[in-house]
Amino acid sequence: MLKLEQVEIRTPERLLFGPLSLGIYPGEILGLQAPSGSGKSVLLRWMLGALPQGLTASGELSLDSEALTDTPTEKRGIGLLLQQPTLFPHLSVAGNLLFAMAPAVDRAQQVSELLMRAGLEGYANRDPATLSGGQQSRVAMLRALAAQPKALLLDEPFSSLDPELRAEFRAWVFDQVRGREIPALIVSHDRDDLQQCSRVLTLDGDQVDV
Amino acid sequence: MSLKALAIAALLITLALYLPTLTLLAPYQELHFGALVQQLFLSSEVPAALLGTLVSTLGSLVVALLLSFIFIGALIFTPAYSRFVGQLPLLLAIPHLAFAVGLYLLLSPKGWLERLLAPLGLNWDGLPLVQDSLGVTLALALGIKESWFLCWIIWAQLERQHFAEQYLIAQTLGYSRAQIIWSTLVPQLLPKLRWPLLAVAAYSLSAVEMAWVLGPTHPPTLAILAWNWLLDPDPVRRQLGLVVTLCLMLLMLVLISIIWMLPTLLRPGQPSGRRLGALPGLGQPLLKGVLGVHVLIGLLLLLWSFTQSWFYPQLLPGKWSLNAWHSLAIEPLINALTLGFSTAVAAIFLVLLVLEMSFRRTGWMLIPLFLPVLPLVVGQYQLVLWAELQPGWFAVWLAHMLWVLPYVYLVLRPAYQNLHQDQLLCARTFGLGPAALLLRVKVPLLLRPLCAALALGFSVSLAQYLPTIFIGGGRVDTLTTETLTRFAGGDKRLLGAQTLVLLLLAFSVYVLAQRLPRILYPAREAMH
Repeated sequence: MLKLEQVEIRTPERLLFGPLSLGIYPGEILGLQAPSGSGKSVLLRWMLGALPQGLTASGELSLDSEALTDTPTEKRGIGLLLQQPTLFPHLSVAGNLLFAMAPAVDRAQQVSELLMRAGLEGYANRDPATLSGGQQSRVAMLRALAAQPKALLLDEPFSSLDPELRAEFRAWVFDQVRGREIPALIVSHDRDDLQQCSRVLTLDGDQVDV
Repeated sequence: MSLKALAIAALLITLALYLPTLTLLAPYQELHFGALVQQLFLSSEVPAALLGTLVSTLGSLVVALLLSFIFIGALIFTPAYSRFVGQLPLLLAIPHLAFAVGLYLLLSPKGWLERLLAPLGLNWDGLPLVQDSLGVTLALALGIKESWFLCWIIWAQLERQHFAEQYLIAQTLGYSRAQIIWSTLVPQLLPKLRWPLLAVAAYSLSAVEMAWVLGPTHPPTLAILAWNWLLDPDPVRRQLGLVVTLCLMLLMLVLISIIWMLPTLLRPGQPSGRRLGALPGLGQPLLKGVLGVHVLIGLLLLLWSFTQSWFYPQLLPGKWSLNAWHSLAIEPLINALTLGFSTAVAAIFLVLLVLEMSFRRTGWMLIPLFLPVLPLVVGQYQLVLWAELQPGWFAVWLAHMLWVLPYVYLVLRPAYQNLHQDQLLCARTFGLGPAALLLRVKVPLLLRPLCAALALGFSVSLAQYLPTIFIGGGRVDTLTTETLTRFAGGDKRLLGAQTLVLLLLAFSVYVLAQRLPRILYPAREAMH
């Protein structure tokens, strides 16, 4: 379970939001909606241990009862999917997935299987820049999952996709999260995205509703 | 005269100033290469000079590249990054010669470092920290000096691409800072550093100012050897000098090949997936150490300039005096100021007008940055002879323009291309023609890059040594030529004062250029 307790984030001038306490269960996808500038992306970055400079935070974060508040980003085991796929342009599609995987004997086989399941067979050696937006997003999600994260944060991951692709990709991503039974938090403005979540958190200054 | 006519005139003038890039091979037509090359091989000096040149040039490239990635890698996404980027213009403004002289005062026998370590009883004679025969100190000094230039280029590249997101993603995948820098930042940036690395290679290959102070002496580097021979009264020696300048161009071709292949040679294979964990953060202490050396150098120049007597092994001068300052001549300062400002302003005019012509291909304006200085100076000399131009201030002014123009272009082109087209369109709807648009909208919008171009152009002119001496026929003294004269004279007090003037003038112009937008537009924050 991914758990936040009494989390407050402040700019030098004001309280951005909080106190916020919540728990996300394995396989659950919690939606997070809030007006622009209310700090929802900031919350995700705090959960990753990468709070932007100039902001301060208090509160606790834990994952499966392990305290993470002071753990470096790379040790948290929390995956991230952003609005832009942010694939590494100097690596091939397979290279991006291998970058995320732990060393293992059958990594090439794992890459083939992952690509096949995502409908990207034969794309292993492609330059990421030559893929469509939807294909890039799928590779980015595969990459996040290839690292075997214990939780997943999604920052408006579908907003750059056209409506048809968006529904299809959302269903695929949500299936992946539920199938792997990891807690996930998704930031979104889109009503359809939020309707697919088990619960929705609304963040507006010191008003927090679930 | 219309703006278009002015722009065409500017283009023609610029092309004329670039003629030495075409005439640089002219002097070689009449040489009997067979005999000269044979003599060159028989010369005992050439093999060692070649080795010193290769070590100092390749070494400086490696050091500059490593340091720039270590510094940027250690600081990026930390609060110290913006402070470091803010200091870069000042570090870039330090003239190569001033840095070399400062290091000489620090590291030479009986220098300040030896004085500091004297109580430990170290035998300094066996430690040639300056002017070593392999050119290692020269490589390190050139590498440190050029690392600021590469840091600046890397910073500008990072401003354009979204590396912050990639960094965060790589962190969430379990990678530490050092591993992210080397496995994602370096492979992406290396192909974009090819041209800047070529400029570093061209400078290091034919640098004579730093090589004179810190490089090997018996024999010196190839550039100095060629320079000495070109000035020799013996015509055969002069011809040998020309052949060595040709060798420098061939070496540059080799370096171009190496640098062009570098990103391919260093391209990482498929990621292994190993997470190495956090490495000890050595980047920030290393940067602090290097910056500390710069401060120490400034202090040493200051101390020597006010010294009357400073006996070994005292750490501070025994007696103080203003004599060194009184003995400084004013003419080199006036020449440096007039040449620096007039070349920079003229280059800004020419570059702006050439950019106004909206040519797609203006990259040729950067060519002089990628050619060794010495053959270009020889090319300039051919033109001066052909045009029967008298050696003097104007000839030197023309010679300096060949290096001031490309640097000014380097600063102004991206800024000009990034002008907000909607703002320009809006201004045109108010009835502004091309000339009014340039003067009333573009120039104010470009104020910051224009000031940066002025400062950079000035410092490039200030640093010129070979063209000043060769084309000026020794009749035009500038702060740079005077500093090397003082170095040859051996009086560290005069050397300290003269170098400090060179350093302070370069700093003053940069500070002025940084402040000018605030002075001109005190109530317009976006203009600062």
